Amino acid sequence: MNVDSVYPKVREIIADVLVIDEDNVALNSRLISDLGAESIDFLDLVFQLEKEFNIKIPRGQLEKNARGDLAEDEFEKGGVLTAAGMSALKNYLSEIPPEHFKANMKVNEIPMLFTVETFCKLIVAAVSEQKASETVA
Amino acid sequence: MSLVFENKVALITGGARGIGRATALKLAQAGSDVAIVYYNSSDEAAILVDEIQNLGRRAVAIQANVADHQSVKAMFSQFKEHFTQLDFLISNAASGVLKPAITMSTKHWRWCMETNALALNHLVSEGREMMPAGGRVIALSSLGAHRAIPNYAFIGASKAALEALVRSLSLELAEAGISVNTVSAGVVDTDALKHFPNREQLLDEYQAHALAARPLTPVDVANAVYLLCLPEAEMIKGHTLFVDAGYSVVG
Repeated sequence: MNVDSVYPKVREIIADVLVIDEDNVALNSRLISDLGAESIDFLDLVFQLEKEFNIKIPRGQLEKNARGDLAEDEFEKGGVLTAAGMSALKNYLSEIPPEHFKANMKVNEIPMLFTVETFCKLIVAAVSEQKASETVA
Repeated sequence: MSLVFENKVALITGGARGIGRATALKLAQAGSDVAIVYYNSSDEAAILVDEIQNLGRRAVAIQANVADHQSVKAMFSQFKEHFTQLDFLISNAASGVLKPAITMSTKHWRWCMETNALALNHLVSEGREMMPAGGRVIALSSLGAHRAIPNYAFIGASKAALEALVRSLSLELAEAGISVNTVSAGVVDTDALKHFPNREQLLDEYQAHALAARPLTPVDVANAVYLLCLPEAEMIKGHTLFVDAGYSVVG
């Protein structure tokens, strides 16, 4: 399972949630800036993706993934990303062109960057983690 | 000495956090088994299930979108795998968009109305066959049903719709011996409140007028739900019980 294999279904669900044409959804479409997603859409989207792929996407998982090994206070200070935080974020959101990462970005602005591909990556990671924990159990 | 809700089963929507969580724990402490219904909060729901099981009660967590009838139907199918009856149906889950009404759209209206009001109807229509005489349906509401609170327009409208629906359902479920009521809570500082742009103002104004020195907590609201579930509350029907330290009645 990889980004390309989950993309068609993810695209379908995103188009359904945002009530837009699938043709208007591309892998690099940013959910908020390009597709007009709002906070309630993210709630619905997470629910539908969890159901479809039989995974759990805990609240804040994307931010947590972006932080990687950094502690919260290494990642951000007063709601603004540190240099180390920005670096970790760019590394995680490798699919996003660097010019989209503005200086002194706030933590609550991170979702503005998320693309369809970001969610595909999230799903692939969640599915493999799920499989791993099943194997251990 | 047996607990008052021994052998009873409660189902709480939005049960993983905030007021729902406190209600689940209160009913469990009083002897009830509990089904926690959650939407996005899978981690929190699992933690709560553990806590309730440690009290010696049965507990399960079921994911559902209460705005969606099919999802509620599927939710009760899962519920039936664990329980054969439902005594306390607590419709607590709510969601909304916190912006001025004149900036909002049909999509926002439907989201608020379907999650906050219509959900009660889905829950009751699918759950009632499992509810014995003496059962309770309780919906959680707020003062926004009656008063204009900034940014709360569509949620307030949905709460007004919810309270009217509670009255209608109490009429329709009367013959089955099921009591349907509303608990209207004052300002409680839960995760939900963190989304309000005017959160500090709400908390300050509540505290300035409430007839109690300490803030309102989720446990206070859970206690009110508990009261309405007691056998002694049998003749309270179609009522809105305010738990707000008198905030709504002072000038």
